Amino acid sequence: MREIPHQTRVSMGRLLVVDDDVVQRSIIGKIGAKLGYDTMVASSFEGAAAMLQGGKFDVMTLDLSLGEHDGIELLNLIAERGLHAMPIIIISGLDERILSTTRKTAEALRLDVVDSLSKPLDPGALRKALFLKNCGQAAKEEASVSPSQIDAATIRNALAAREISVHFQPKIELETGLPVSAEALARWESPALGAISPANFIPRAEELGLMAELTDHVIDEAVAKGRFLLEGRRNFTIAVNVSGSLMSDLGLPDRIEGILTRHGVAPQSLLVEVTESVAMSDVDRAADILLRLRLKGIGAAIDDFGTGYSSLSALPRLPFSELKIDQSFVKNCHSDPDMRKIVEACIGLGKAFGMRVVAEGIDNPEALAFLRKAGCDLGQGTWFSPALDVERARAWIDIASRAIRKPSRVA
Amino acid sequence: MSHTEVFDRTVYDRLVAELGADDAAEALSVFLADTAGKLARLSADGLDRMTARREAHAIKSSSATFGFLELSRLAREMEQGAEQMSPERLHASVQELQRAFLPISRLAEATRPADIREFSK
Repeated sequence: MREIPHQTRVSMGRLLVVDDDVVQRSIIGKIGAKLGYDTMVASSFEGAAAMLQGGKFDVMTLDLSLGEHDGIELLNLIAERGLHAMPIIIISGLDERILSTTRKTAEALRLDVVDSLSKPLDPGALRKALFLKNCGQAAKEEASVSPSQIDAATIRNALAAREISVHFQPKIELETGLPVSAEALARWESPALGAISPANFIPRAEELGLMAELTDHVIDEAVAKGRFLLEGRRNFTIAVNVSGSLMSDLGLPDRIEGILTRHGVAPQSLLVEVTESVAMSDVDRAADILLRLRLKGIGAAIDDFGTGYSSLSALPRLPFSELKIDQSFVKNCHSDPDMRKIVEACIGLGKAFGMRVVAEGIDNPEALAFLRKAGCDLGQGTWFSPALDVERARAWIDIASRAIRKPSRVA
Repeated sequence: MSHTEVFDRTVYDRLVAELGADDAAEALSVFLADTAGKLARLSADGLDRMTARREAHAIKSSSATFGFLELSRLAREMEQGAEQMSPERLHASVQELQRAFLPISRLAEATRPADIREFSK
């Protein structure tokens, strides 16, 4: 039995690698350790069965060819033991039909097959599969909470107890593949209610008039934790969301500057993302606030561009440095001719105004290839990485940056 | 045969990009030691077809992981044809594999020795 400890500051959980080939075990184990997994390897059905008996694993990779006993037998055993929640990545050097049939068999056993990969193993595809597994889990664990359960006192208490924190989703320069920024996204882990989606609590905070308090707290969290992502990276930025409703709050620029000063972070390292719909409603006031942020050196992005109440006449009056194309256009931009036209027009518009253009919601390689060709500057989405806690985000950014920067050497 | 049909450097570079140069070199040394062992088993007297097919299947995948395309192609041919091969043809196939592996095995001198026993447990 071989154990490879995680190579990040914190562990992402336990990974079981089942493969009868020593070379594949070595490679998969190394990728797992770099991603932050404590990795155990098993070379046989019996070895894997014993390890599954001995403890819980957060994810498993399974090679279907396992000598005398095959991977199907192990899938049956996993189902018999009721390990339906353990995400499984199936790997096989046999033909694609065997792989797809096995996947269906596993699904019939109600096992959680997150991906199936063919050999020779593409290490990048394995890394993505191990990351996407985390994304899926996070979504499943979110509690269902009705708006009436979230009142002003609940939110204020959560802010005071620092239950609301941030995760970071990397933004990637499409031409080079280099991570250049990370968007801080609010997360609420309530001891009483469970994990509450921002889609639930942010509209409630708006209704209850608590957006200024919530935004100040989230920016403080983002800067305090994001500082850790900025270390050793020139020109890297942390992005935070600011509700359009605060584009009439004239005290906001000074409060943001105060947060930056308190944490010793340069204004150039921060970018505020403002949702288009409301930002445009009072153009003069919004222009005043955005201009003051920009004069302090803080970047400003127009978020969810293309949805809501676009007013093209307002665009030249608002000093945005970045334009983020809404994910609803990005998702199928490679296959839907109408979405393609919208995305191309947004890129053209952003460039014409001297803005950096970002595509949100990239979740497949075809969309990425199209956006890269269309001249989009940055991309963000689960194809690269879901939102991760700061330790994991740092590990991800380190690995991705090293992969780009490190010159390869002759073996 | 063009150079890239023997060794596709871009495949190895992708592995380096994911693992870093040191870990990629370590994985390569695991591959070199393991493949040398497999070829020794394939060269033993009284080689049975099942063993030939199983070892060829493993070499096919692992060699392709590093970009050794010729070795992978020869291993695939052996895996697919082993059941029908005469003992003489099987022997000739093993020799072809050894010939393709020889220049690769010299890479061992350029990489750090990895403790293959650790992974073999």
